[in-house]
Amino acid sequence: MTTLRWTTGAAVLLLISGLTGAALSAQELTTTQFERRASGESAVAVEVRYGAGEFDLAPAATGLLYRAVLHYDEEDFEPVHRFADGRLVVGVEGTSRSRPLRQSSSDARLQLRLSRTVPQDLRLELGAVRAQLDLGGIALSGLHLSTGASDTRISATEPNPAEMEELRFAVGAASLRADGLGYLGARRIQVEGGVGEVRLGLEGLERQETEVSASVGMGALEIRVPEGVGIRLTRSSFLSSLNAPFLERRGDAHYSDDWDTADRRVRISVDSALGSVRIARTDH
Amino acid sequence: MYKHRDVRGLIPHGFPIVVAALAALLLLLPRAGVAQERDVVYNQVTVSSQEAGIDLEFADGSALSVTFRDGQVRIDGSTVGAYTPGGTLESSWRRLLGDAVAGDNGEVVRLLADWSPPEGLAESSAEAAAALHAALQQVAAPGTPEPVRTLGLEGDEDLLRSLLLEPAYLRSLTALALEGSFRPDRFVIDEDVRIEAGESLVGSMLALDSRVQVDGTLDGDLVLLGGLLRLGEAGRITGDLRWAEGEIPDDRSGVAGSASAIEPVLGLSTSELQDRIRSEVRAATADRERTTRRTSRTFGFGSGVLGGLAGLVQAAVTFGIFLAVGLAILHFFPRHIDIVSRTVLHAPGRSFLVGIAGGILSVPIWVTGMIVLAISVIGIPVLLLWIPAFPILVAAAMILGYIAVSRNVGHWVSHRDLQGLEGMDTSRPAVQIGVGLLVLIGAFAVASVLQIGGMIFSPFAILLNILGVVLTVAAGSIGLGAVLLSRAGRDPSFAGDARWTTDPDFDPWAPSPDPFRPEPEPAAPRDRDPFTPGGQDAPPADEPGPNPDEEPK
Repeated sequence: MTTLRWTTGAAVLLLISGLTGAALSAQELTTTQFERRASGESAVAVEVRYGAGEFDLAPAATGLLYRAVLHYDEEDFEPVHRFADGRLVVGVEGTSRSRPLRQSSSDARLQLRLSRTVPQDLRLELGAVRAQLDLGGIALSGLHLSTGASDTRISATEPNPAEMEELRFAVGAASLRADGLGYLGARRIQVEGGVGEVRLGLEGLERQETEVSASVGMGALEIRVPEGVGIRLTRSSFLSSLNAPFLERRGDAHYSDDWDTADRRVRISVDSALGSVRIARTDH
Repeated sequence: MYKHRDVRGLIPHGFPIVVAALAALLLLLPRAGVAQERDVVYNQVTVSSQEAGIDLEFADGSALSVTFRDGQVRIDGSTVGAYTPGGTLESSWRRLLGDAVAGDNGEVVRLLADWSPPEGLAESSAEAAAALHAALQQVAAPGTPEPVRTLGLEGDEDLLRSLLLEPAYLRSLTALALEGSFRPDRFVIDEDVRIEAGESLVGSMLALDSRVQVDGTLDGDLVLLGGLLRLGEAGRITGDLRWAEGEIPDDRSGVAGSASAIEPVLGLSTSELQDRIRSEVRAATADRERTTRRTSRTFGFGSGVLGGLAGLVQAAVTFGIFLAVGLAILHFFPRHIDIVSRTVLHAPGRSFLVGIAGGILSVPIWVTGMIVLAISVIGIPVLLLWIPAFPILVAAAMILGYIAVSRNVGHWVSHRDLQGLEGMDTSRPAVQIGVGLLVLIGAFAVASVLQIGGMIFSPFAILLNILGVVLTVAAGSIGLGAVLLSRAGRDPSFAGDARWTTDPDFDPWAPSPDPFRPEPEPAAPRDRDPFTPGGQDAPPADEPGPNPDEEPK
């Protein structure tokens, strides 16, 4: 009887795995590229909607306004591309033919290249995405990243050609690591974290006054501030820890020792419920 | 006598459109290979298993679209030829688009302009490749395009007709166009032209069916298609002389450049062309015929057959999936499904009411849970779990309940004396689940079979579909209620006798007793039939014997 049980169980598993395998083997990716040259645009609002897969963002070649290359399973997804009146929408969205057994998002990929010269207000809505954003050199007037369960790496190694007012991150159960945010020159950086890990590196900071506001539910937040930049930290927390040994408490705030003399300053405001907050120094 | 005519500024009225097109092509050809890419403002490349294409938009508002799909090459929506899927031409085209996508620096235009057809193509593919190559050459245009002459069609219909009937001229013009070395500044058609002694005419000339007398100097090239050329003693042509079907003097010492006949482009003879046209017409007619027949089938009898077959396949797939899930549940959670089945059996009404209530309240509960978790800071992490987990749990409960109801239905059915079940051991729960699913899903399958039968059976098919929906809703509600009542098969309070739930030797795959059979009346002691083994009270041979695991009722 035991043999019968296990045989039947194995048969069921084989049936299910066979169905899944057949679905996977039938997966064929489609590649679509959209490329547009800059032709006098003064500003562009860019909206990226990408649910699952890999996302790669970098500056475009000279003269290009944008370039998007999408790899997707056309059985389950269809590309989204609209450009009109200075607004670009790009990404993929599911079709009515989507099949739940398929894992077609595993090989899906979006490569996006954005202009170095035309100021762009960039909004990214990412789902379960592994994202690599090289923002150095892209002309960004604003950046709003909303991510659910993605693993996002942001880097910037050269100054932002455009003036940026605000940089916003809304992170759910995701991992976000950003280096070189100082190069983007945002006047205000705002972070809303859920349960993920967030690390913000302010390397390349040139602005005299920068405001960082972080609201974290549960999880870890680390902010890395370059040497020579004055720090003022205020926090409102509940059952959360703060690790910033080089900050000195004065009244309701914590200050770095060079706060009064520094020509560049960062005002950090942290509101955390659970988890940990760490402020660290970096060389750049 | 020749008509003497000064050719300066000569542009004939009514220049035929065919010649105009070819002449315009001549004018547009690049000089000495010096070319500049046109300003492409937008390009879209799509490469999939079924299609490989590119769309271009130019700064002047024009566009170019090239698509390989279904064995046909289309340029701007028009089919220009065929290709062999997986063949040399398609591979070359896909490689080009692959390079364009991989380039990552806006090199699409240069790549397209540099593309050339691969060698050794079949005739049909070669035709498509040539058209494609010509189209892609539009991407590269001269840096400073000169205005093309405006040529009209005012009369000269006879000449147009004669040109169309004289393919040698057209092939010669095509050859010149492909050589790209000749750019006429003047056109002469059916005219007598004379350059007087001492007169100099600057610019190249194309003469069709004309008589050209050169006593002075033609500072440029001369192309003669038909007609004749006379070179005077002092007559000079500083460029090249090319001709086809014309009368040319043997003494061509007055020609400074080369003098040679035009090798027409190899093409089809008139008869071959006619054959090709006939075959194309036949193919198009056959396609149309096929399309018409297919359409008539699709909207007539065929729609019922296709719909019915699709319904049958859908029912079969649904049955297979539920059976697989049911067997998995039976294997991994045998006691849970047993308790749910017995809860359905012993409290069907209560299960139905609870199931209906649970189904209706599930959505408000889900939304309320989201709101409560969202407004509480600590609940935010749970919210991320709650949103997907709750609907999954409800769906899982409904499936578990539906399988349990199926088992009971199968149990009941299998203990009727039904034809077709004789060879099956219907006392086993796995078989009961299968039989029950057949009954519950069978209404949809039978409806699909009736649909195949045509319009006359439609009312019955509709009724059976309604019956299937009612059965599904009832089974789902009762099952969900039983799952809730039994706390997913862990609480046997409504399951009646449940001694087996704690029996360590319980085997879910073993035959089980018929719970629907009424308790036998205690029989009065009778004399045993001495001729029957076991006496008269022995069960019939085709009925299962008593289960040793079953507790006597």
